[in-house]
Order: sequence, then structure tokens, then C-alpha cells
Amino acid sequence: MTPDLPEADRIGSLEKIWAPPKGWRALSAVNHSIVGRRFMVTAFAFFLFGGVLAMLIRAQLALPGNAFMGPEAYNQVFTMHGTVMMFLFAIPVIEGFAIYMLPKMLGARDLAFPRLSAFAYWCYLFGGLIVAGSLLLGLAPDSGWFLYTPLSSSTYTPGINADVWLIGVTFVEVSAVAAGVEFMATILKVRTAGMALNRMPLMVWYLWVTAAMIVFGFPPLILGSILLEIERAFDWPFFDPARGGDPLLWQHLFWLFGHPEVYIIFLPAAGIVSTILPVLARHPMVGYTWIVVSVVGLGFISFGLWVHHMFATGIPDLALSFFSAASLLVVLPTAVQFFAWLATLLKGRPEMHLPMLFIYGFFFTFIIGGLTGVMVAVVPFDWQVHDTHFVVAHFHYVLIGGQIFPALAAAYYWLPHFTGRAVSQRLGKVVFWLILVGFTVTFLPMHLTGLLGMPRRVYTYAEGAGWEALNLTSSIGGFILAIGFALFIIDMLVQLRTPGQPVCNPWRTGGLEWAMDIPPPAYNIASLPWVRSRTPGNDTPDLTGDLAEGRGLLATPRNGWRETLAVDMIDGQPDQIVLLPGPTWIPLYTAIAAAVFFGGLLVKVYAVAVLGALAVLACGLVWVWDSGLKEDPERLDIGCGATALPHPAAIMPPSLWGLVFLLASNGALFASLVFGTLFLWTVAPNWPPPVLMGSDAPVIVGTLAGLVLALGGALRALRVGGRGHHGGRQAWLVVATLGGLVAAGGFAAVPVVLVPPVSGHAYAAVTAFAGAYMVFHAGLGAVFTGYAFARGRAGWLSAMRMVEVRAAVIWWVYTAAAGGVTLAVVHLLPRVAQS
Amino acid sequence: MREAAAFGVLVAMIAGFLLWTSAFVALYAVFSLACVHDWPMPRLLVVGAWLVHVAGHGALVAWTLRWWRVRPTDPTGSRPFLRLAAVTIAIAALGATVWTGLPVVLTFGCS
Repeated sequence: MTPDLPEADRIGSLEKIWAPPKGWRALSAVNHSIVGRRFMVTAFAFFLFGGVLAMLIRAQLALPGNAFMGPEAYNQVFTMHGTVMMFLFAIPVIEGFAIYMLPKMLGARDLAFPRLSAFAYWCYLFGGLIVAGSLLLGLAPDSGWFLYTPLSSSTYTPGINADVWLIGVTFVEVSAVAAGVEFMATILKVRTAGMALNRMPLMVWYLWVTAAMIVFGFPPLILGSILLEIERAFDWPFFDPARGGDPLLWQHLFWLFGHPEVYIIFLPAAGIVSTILPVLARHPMVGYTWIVVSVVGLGFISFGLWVHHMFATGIPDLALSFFSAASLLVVLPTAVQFFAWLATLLKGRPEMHLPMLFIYGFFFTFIIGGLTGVMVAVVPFDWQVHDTHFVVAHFHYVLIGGQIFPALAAAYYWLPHFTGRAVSQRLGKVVFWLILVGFTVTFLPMHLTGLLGMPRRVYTYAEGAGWEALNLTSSIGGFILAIGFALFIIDMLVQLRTPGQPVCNPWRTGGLEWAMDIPPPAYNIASLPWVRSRTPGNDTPDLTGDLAEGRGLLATPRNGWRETLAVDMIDGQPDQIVLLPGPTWIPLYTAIAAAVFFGGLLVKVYAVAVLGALAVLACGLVWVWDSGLKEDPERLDIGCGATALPHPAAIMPPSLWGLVFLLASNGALFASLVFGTLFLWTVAPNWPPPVLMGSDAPVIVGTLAGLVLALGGALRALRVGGRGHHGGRQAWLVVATLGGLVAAGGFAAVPVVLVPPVSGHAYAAVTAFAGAYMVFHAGLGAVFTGYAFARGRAGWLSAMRMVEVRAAVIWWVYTAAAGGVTLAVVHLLPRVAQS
Repeated sequence: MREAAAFGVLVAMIAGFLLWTSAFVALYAVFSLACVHDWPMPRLLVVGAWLVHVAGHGALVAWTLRWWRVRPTDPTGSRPFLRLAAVTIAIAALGATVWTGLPVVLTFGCS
């Protein structure tokens, strides 16, 4: 495409349209580069906080009988170390990296939902501050980072320490799920032209699988946290065995999240290796398709390992064998990647730059962590080392080896993206050796400490146990490691502030993230490329210059719109112009409202929590009201002779895919609830319950009728609306809204009228909870259709512009399906189980 | 519909591991329910659930192989990649289901 404006005017317009807000208004920024940087800086700050806690732990354990910390303080410190590192660093730093880098790698100007990523950041920050701040008040969680019941129940942890974890971590998880949904929709739809699935950079495949794992892996823990908080606050006995609950249910829900979490952390790091290694080996990555297959395989199989954290809980041997087999199986896809990396090194001419050094460090450490992982996957061995320091050594080799070394490689590799200058590698080499040596001295002897029987989570040990020298060695290593990270911070600060030689593409790679000025402008690229390979920068001699001069797509701004492309998800053919939002306060306001909600729950002032929830709903409605067009658009020129519709007129814009993935995540939560119900019926003690819910046929029929009316009404509204019958569409939306309210009323009868007292037995508690879940969904479904009705009245809908109605249909398809299952579980399961 | 069809292609690519997920859940659930409720011939039920899934995997491998053999109109497009990935995933998932369920053939006990 030849731009029809002079270059200076075109670039000036782009800069004006995409200009980030200044001063205190910068808090309203939604641009992905800004939000991504905020995520990464905040995550690194939490990493330092968690690191200081690690130093406290090592100081305490350096000597036997050490009085440096008492058991209460130590419990808070080791719980917070794990919680901060896993929830406030490991996942958010990946999110920050992906938010910053994904659009650049995809040849896009931003993510699909910039406001959602800004909202995710604020939720992360507020949730993180709740969790981290509690330590300063001496109210930090102290039941371990997995918060096992009954230790975390109100009986044994009566203060708000456990509530801080449950509420703060759930707040952070809202952020993670939001980011996961955003990444899935963005990768599937918001790519540049020509970027078919087989031309996506490997890093993007890794991030897509990671995002899917977040979307499906976090909900079990969110459910578990909600149930445990309800138990603690209102005495609903989900986990109390005396009243039909089961502590093992918590462990299942936690580890259903917890094991995939390890791979959620590892996969993006492996993606970093698969990106950097071929560049510095000067050879294309060997086995692209094999790696994609192995990453997909890892994504699935990692969900079949959760019970290997529960081998010592008394689960039948044969059931353990399924999980042991899956735990051994997961080695294969990991090995495929390792062999592909080795083959690439062997076929290339590796250059020993600093990032490569950290990748070799990753190989060395992660292999050891992987091998000890195979050992603990074998049930009899796991029984021997369960809850010992061997396990602590193993997972630090996996997590630090599997994430930190690649992350440090990434920091040095992509540093020029932030500075615009070449990397100075001198100090970095000292950093590498300090970290590698410090890490090895800390954690290698710890395997032996564990094999000699030292348990985890003890604040001290007696002299003469044979653990003294090993612990002192680990503590010395820990401080060497800390010095290494301190030097890394100094190196980064120096390199960010020191002037140097400007560079464009320091590693001479063909990746799209380097086909732009660095540091990148707010719009990333002045025009979008039409790519024909995985390394477009190698296909065109001066791709950066061509794109900057407007010889690409969407080169000329129009109407003040922030534009990027959406494509066919398989072949990468352009099919929509996505109109992105500019700076807005609404993500921050929504996150503040959510903070009021979570804060109200934490201090147990529930009226405040209700106000917060209503404020979230109001913010949400304001959020979506601004989107869309009031007139039917025509197909618009995008360059290269191609045209596309603006997304509000598309059949499936990225926002609807976002809704689909959000509901998939919600479905994972619902499936976990059904699993939990069946688990209690099948395994928990003190079942069957003494009193069952009364059978009430009119309630069942009324609820079903409400669901049918709501779904049918939404579908009819879509059909008649698509034919241009404005009045008919509005009428059916009213029918659907009324149906939703009827269904919500029917489900409300379950917790309010039908179940026995909820504190009496886990049966009543879980049944009431299932009813409340459906009240929420049917009620929100009524809001969806009511909102579509209001949009229709205000002139935002037409036969061509039906996004809101489609969203309502998608919501009601899910709600009707979940409602049907809930009716069966609530009303039929007790009868079947009793018979 | 075009969007749904494209998404369907993506689902077909990972169908092998979707089936493995079903097999894994079925093995654990049938084993647990059969043992807890003293169902007759629990081992037969668990092995049956496993074999049904292995057969399903076999059918999926055959289907993806047929898909793979269709000559692509654009050798550099996404279809050859998708077909190769689908076949590889189908075969890998078959192996995964056989391996994961193998213990029920070798031994059995509800304790």
C-alpha cells in the first residue's frame, strides 16, 4: 500500500491518536507497552520482597536452635515467601511480558482488549498489596502457600490471616484469568495479515497454551478459595469431616490448579529459550511442528498430575498409579523440546552472548529439577521424601531453573527494546556466575538435607541431627544468590540510564518485534506487514523502513481511530478492522470497586462488599456502553487492495471470542463444583446426609421454563434482529430478560427455601452454593438481555450490528446448559444416590 | 459459520488430547465409583472404559491419517501444518492413553 498522506503528516496523526496521557493522567493509560512495563516492574518488586523473605528463612535455618525468629513469625515468612513468589511474581511477570511483547510479535498495534489488561494490572496491584501489606501488620497468612484445611479453618486459624490469603490471592487470580482470556482472543484473532497458524512465532504458541492453562487451571482454586472463605465466614462445612465435608476436597481443588501452575510458569520460559536460542545459534529452530505438538501435549498432560502432590493422603494405590503414570509421561514432551534445542545448537554456529549463557544455566539446572521430578513421580520414592527438604530442593530447581534463568536471558536479550541501545555484557557475566554458583550451593546440598530426613516448614532443628553443615552451606549459597540478584538490579539500572550506541536489531533476527523503532512508539508500527514466513524480517531487506514509511496495511489513520487488524484464525487473511479504545479511567474505577468488594469481605462488613459488587456492575455497564458504532459501516480500505469491516459490524469480533473463553473458564469452575459435589457424595465421611432437600416439582418446572424462555428469547431476538425487525428483536429481548428473572427466582428457592440449614451438613452447603451460582448467572443473563434492549433503544443495534445480542445468546447457551446440570445435581442426584 | 468452522479445525487438531482427558477422567471416576459403591466386576468396568477410549483413539488416528493424505492446495499454507500436527497429536494421545491405563491391566485392587 502506498500511503496517501505525506509521511510526516501520517506519523504525526498516529502519534496524536496513540499519545499516552501525561502526569497523573498516566494512570488512565491502557496501551499495552505501558501496562506490560507496569506489570513487569511490579512483579519484580514483589520478587525482591519474596527474596528478602527467603533470606530471612535461610538466616533462621543457618544454625540449629536459632532464636532469630519464633514459630509464629517463621510460619508467616515461609507462607508469604511461597505465596509472593508464585502468585505475585511468577505468573504476573509472564503476564507483563506477554502484554508487552505479544502485539509486537503478532504485528499488531495493541492487544484485543487494552482496557482489560489495564484492569488486570490494577487488580493485581491491589490484591498484591493486600497480601504483602498483611505481613507488615503481623496478619500475614501462616498456613503454608497451599493453605491446607483443617489448619486454615477458623478453628485452627481464627484471625484474618487465612482470609487475607483467600481474598487477596483470589483478587490476583481475577487479574490472571482476565489476562489469560485476553491472550487467547488476541492470539487467535488480532494478528497481522498473512500470519497463518504455521507462521506464528513459537513464543506465541507457548503463550497461547499458557493462556489456555490459566483459563482452565485457575478456576478450581478460585472455587476452593470461595468455598473456604464461606466456610470460615459463615460456617458452611465444605471441608469439615464432622459435618460431611472433607479436607481432601481442598487439596484436590488446590492441586488441580497447583500442578498446571508449574507448567504455566515453565512454558513461557521454554518459549523464551525457543525464541532466543535459534537466533544466537544462527540456525532456524529445528522441529517447529514437533515443538507445537509437545507444548500442546504438555498443556493437557499437566492437568493429569495433580494427585502426585497427594500421594501420601491415603488415596487407593491403583488411582495413584494413574497419576504416577501421567507424571512420568510428561517427561516425553519436555524431552522433545530439549532435543529440538540441542539439535538447533548442533546444526547452528552458536554465539556465546550473555543471553546464551543464561540459557546454558537453564539447561544445567532444569535438567536436574526434571530428573528429581521423575523420582518423586514414583510413589514409593515420594513416600520416603514427602514433606522433606528434598522436595524443597526439587521444586526450586524446577522453578528457578525453569523460569528465572530464561527470564534473565530474556531481560538481557530484549533490553535494547527498552533502551534502544546495545547491551553491555560485562557485569552480566558476573551476575550469571554469582547466581549459578549461589543457586547450586543453596539447593544442591538441600537434596541431601531432605534425604537425611529434615522436614519442611519447621522453624528450627536440634543440634546433632546431622543437618547443621548442610543448612549452613545452603544459607551461605542463599546469600551469594542474593548478591547476584542485587548486582543484576544494579546492572539493569546502569544500562537503562547510561547513554550508548543506538541500535535497531542488535541480534540480527527476523522477528516482527524488531521490525519497529526501538524503544517502540505507542502504536508499535506505522503500518502492518503482510507476512509470508515465520521470520518476515529476513524476507524483506528493510522491513522496518518499509513499515515506517507506510508500505504496509492500515498506514493512513482515519477518523481518529486506533486501528489494528483481526484475521481469520487459521489462515491469517484479514477480516476485520479492530477499533481500539484510548486512555480511560474505567479500568481503574472498576478495580477500585472490586477492591471495595474484596475489602468488605476481608473485614467482614458485608454491606460494603455488596456496595462494591454493585459498583463493579455499574462500572462494567459504563465500560461496554462506549463501544460500537451508531451507523452501519461500509467495508474500508486497509491497503494492498484489501478491505475489511470495522469489528462492531463483524459476526464474531474478538470481544465475543473473549466472552467464549471467559465462559470456558467459568465452565471449569462449574465443573470443579460438580466434581466437588460428586466427591463429597462418594468419598467424604458422614454421608448420606441426615436430611435431604424437599422435592418441589413446581420450582423445577418454573426454573426450566425460565431457562427455556431466556435462551429461546435471546435466539429469537438474534434471528428477527438479523432480518431487520427492530420491534421484534426488542420484544424478544424483553421475553428473554423476564425468562432470566424467572430462572433466577427458581434457583434462588434452593438456598433460600428448600435446603436444610446450611451449617448442618456439607450436602446442604454445597447444594445451596450451586443454587446461588445459578442465581448469579441467570441474574446476570437478565442484565445481558436487558442491556442489549437498552442498546437497541439507543440506536446502537441494527441487522448488521448485533454484537450485544450475540453476547446475550452466548451467555444464555452457557447458563442454560449449566442450569440443566445444576437441576440434575440438585434435584436428581440425591434420589439416585439414595436409591 | 466461517469462524465456527475455523475454530472446529483448531479443535480437530487437538482432538487426540481431548480424548486423553476424557479417558483419564473416566478411569479415575469409574474406578472410584466402582470401588466405593461395591459395583460388581469393578475391574471389568475400568478396563472397559479404558478399552472404549483406546478404540476411540484408534478411530481418531485413522481419521486424521485420512485428513493428512488430502493433497494441500497451498503447500506453504496452514493446512499441511495442521494435518501433521493433528496426526502427531492423535498418535501421541493414543500412546498416552495406553500408558496411563496400563496399570489396570497389570494389577487391580480397591485398597
